[in-house]
Amino acid sequence: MGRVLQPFEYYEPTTIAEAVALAAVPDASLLAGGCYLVPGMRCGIVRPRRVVSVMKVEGLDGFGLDSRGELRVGAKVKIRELRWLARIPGRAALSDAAEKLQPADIGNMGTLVGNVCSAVPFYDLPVALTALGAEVRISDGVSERTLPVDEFYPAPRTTAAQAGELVTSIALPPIPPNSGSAFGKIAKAPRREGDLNRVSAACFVALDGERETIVDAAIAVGNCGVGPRRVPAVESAIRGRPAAPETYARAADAAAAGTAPMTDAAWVEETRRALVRALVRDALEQAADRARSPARS
Amino acid sequence: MSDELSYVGKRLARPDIAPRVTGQAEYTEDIVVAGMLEGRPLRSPHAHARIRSIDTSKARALPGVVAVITHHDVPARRFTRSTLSEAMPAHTYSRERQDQYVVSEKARFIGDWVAAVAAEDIYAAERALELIEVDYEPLPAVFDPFCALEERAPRIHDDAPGNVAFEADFAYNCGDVESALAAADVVVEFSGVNSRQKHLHLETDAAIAWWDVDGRLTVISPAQGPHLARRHLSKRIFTDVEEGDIRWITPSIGGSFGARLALGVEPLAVMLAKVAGRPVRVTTTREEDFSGYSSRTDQHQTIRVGGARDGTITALEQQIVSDSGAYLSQSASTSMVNLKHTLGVFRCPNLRGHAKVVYTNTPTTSGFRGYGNPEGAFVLQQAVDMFAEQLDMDPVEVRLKNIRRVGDPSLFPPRVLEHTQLERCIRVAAERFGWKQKWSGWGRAEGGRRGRGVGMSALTNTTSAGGSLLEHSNAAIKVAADGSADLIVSPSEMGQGILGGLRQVAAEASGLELERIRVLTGDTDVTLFDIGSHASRSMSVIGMAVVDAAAKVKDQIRALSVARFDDATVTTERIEVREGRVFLEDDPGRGFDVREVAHDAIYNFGSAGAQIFATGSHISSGPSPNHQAAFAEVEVDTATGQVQVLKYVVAHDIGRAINPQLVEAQLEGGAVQGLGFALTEELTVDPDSGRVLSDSLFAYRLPTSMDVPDMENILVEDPAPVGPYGAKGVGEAPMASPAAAVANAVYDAVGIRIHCLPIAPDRVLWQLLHEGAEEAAGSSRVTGQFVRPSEQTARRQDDDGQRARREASA
Amino acid sequence: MDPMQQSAAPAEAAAPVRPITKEIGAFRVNGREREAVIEPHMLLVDVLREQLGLTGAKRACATGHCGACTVLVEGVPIRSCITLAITVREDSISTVEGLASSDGALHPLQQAFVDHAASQCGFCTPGMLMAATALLRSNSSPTRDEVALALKGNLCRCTGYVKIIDAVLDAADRAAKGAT
Repeated sequence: MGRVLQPFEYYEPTTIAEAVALAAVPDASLLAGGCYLVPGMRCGIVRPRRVVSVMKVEGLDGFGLDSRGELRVGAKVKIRELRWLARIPGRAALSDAAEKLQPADIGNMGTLVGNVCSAVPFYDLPVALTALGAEVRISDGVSERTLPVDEFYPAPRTTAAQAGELVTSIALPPIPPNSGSAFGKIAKAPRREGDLNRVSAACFVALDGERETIVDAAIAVGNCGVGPRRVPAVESAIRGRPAAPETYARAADAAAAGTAPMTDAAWVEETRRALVRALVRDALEQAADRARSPARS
Repeated sequence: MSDELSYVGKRLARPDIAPRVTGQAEYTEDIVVAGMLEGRPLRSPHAHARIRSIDTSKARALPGVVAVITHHDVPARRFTRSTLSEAMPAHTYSRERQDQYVVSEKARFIGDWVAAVAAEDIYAAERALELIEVDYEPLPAVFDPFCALEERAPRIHDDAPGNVAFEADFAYNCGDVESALAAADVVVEFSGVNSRQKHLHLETDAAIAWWDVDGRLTVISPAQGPHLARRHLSKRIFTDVEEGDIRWITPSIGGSFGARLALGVEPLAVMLAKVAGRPVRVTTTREEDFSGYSSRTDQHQTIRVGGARDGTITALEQQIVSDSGAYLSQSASTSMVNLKHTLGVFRCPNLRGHAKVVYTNTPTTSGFRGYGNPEGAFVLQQAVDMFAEQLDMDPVEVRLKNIRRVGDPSLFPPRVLEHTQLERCIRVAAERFGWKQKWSGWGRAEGGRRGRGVGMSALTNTTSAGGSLLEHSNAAIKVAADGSADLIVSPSEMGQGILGGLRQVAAEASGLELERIRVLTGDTDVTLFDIGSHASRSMSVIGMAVVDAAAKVKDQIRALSVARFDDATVTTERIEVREGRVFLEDDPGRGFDVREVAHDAIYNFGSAGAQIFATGSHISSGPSPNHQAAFAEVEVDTATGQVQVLKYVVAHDIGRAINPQLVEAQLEGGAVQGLGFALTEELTVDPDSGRVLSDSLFAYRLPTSMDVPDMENILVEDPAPVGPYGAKGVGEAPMASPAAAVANAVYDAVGIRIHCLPIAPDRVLWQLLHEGAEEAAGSSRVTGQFVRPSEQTARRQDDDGQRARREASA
Repeated sequence: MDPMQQSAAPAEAAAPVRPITKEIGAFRVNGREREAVIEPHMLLVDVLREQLGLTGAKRACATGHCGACTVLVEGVPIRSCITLAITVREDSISTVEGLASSDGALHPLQQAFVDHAASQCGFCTPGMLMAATALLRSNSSPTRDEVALALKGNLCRCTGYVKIIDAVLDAADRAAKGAT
């Protein structure tokens, strides 16, 4: 825990190939907005000897839809740009999470990709991305591979990106009609080692043409483990069910029951499950309401 | 004499606000002293550990490192961090436990200082810290005060058996509580504990120190009470330097709230400067602040209220077990002040209180705005509501029936209460809030995810600690030849605007023009002795010293003016001075500017020149407590446990607002800080490791601009007999009510009583899920252990038995 | 293992890009060209305070939470305590010292803070003013709720925010009425 950072090598490459080559050495870190890395270095949590900025690399600032309706967010795109997604009910979970970031200025400095790559277990954006079925596009300078966001965290505070790779973008799949999504979180005090400072959940719901029945759903529970966690059993259980309070309540109960404990304090876990239940229920309801809202351009 | 005031009661801008909005205000870290080194402490990673050895050789060898100190280099004298201790009378002073060295000989909490470095730049200093090799022998540690009291608990201080740092009865126990409780129609009991609220002054702790060749020591730091601080430093630690040879400079202070009534890094800076032979600046991080040496003390309390069927309270008892952390700072004082306030709100002939302060291997706790009152209010006001519920009485009526009136004992017996408008506050606030419409009795409407409820509290808060502390303030005013003046005072301006307020008082009482008065403060070489700002005393006590000096200045002006009128019928009795003008009261057209007299007082080529100058002093021997009545409306989401404050109305009996705008600012800021105390602020410590888990603003949640409820602060002004122009203190008053009123409102909303602050979502949820169960009474902050009332009784009976035996054999 | 670190890899490929060690940053600060020697590990807040003598921006948390270090970079509010100075060396920076006009007249926001007693200890004030400046540039007549939302990332421990919001609304009001 220091007042200042200690010296490191610093590079500003202009191509992906340069960046991955520079970062392929031991004790190297990639730098985007720095919202995690810089204070992390100050506190001594991370101690790279070399820092490689991606912010001058060409081609990483795309933010838009392709012809199939997939939304790509390039590595340099700042979090504040995500506010535009509020207009798209099926993607609003991500703008919810961005809007609820404290402080909001982080949106001016941090990037979505950087936020995801920080692998901080209590970060919000990965939870929303998980519910939206997002994928991480990883490049080694020659070719790209893709991983679903909820497979991107193999271990605590670790991503699946290897040495010699960098994440070029995050892609959100095309959204079906009559879909909606939402994200919510509740702050709490960390009560034991390993406990986190919040609980969050994000839900995605697609309704049928009459907007009465759930045809597809995704539920992501956040801050209850290494990374955001989908609950596939609950999701398949509510497919085909009416988009109504009883459905949300039952799904929320199931999601809560499946929340693994993070501490051995019974009351902390009991209340964590209760918070998960409330968040999942509310996010499902809000997602369904948004799915029913009039189509917006 | 006209009753109209020129400056008092007016919303006037502070003289020191412009530099704050331009970025020019100088705080300690903004100051550069030529040649200064950067100092940083090394902190223990263990909660309790013997230091077998420390090897500093590698650190010393690092280029740029000038000094490295360990316990072997510091004075072998222990001290308490609390500088306020220097204002205590001898019998209390001797009870203030002196229990720490400048750098510790044994690590007693994670974060305890074990070494320190001074280097040419901060980068070298921090690299050097990593090169210091400490061989620790970890020891068993204890993190909960009740565990620390147990027979087999590890001993934290060799000279504190049972880990008891302090223990005492309430100073004003009276009557026979046991009999009164036995005879009472209704007895209720409630236990609760507050959390370790962090002061979170935005300015992190820092200090600059250097020794001159002639042996004078200069310290620059945001101390809250520098005259006491330098005395403490000289008397307790660096005994080879006289108090008067220490110059303490306090620049702008970035918030304090009581934290700076204790030493921070100053002893480190002084020590490093001594060894290095150069000025040293020591700085800290916010993480170090979180796991450091200042926070509100968590006080575990059990309160019993007994009374008659008509609502009269006949017995009040309060037992406190406080967690001092690893060292004693102000936990003893705040525990005693808790007793004083809590047992001092209501008229009651049978009072009993007892406080025990316990060491644990956790960060040191200290004193925070309110200083025991907010801690106690949270428990007391819930207990009183429980009492009211048993009688099916309106909470407002129960308070009105029992609050102290003029003539009743005050907070400081044997003095009587000379002034109170608490009843008016209760009535006015209740009406403005709409209590009669909102409170629907003790039953509760069931159902619905969200429940709404209302609650109240009625409190008293001391203004100054006259009778307990040396309440001594001095002020001086000197008038320059141009008629401008310097007001020399030594409060601690930490944002409350006291310099502006005192300037208004000085201008009013002296007749000088406000805008031509400068305020000199913040340098013990310049200012006269003052114990500083705390206990909401600055206006009510320092203000009286200012009035004293100002009145003398006015007398001098009048005396010097007689000759100027060149009229044999003019005597001093006819002369008035106001807003910088001297004139005849009965013929205001005849007069002149003060500057003419001020000029002549100096530029007198005769033999009778003397600059217009006066000192004033005031020693307060008794407080003039202020009072508040607060009403809160909340909505509780029973699915998430979140509590939202919909409306908050408080009436304050403050005597008179010298500057209503500044008073409002204090009340608003204190209310929001109090709501943080009530709802979101929680310093959590892991019960297994003793590590502070909430060591950043991610986890420790301060109120933001989005957390301000619909709030109204009503000023009830009825000039008090003590205080300049009838003003009482106001600084701490707003802190105590929010948690108390909100807790009662939560009960009205959803039928649960929260025993542990803050009223956090997970605690609310747990209470709702376990309502009615015995364990639902809440948990001690650290281990989940709840001290059942019967256990408290058992302990107390034990103590009583021992005391009776001692007395019998005496 | 830290996610941003790459694990041990085979021999480093040829990297023609040279590292940036020390630079002379020619910042445009408050409309003037100022030079500072910047090493990559230096924080913007420290460069401003210690090399350029602009001590308005404060270190209070150094994790980017509290906003006491807020400055504008290319007009956008950022947290200088978690910004490496080297990453903004080509950008224009605005600090509180640049708000008042060259003849010393206070900026309307500053004057409003004075008039409303919106500054108590003053430690949050510079950052608060910069955040408010950014707000009023993007939204010249905000509602009370919009002001509260815009300032929610700037923590104040003293005021309880009420008078700060009053001051910002007043400044917006005066500007709307044409008084500058």
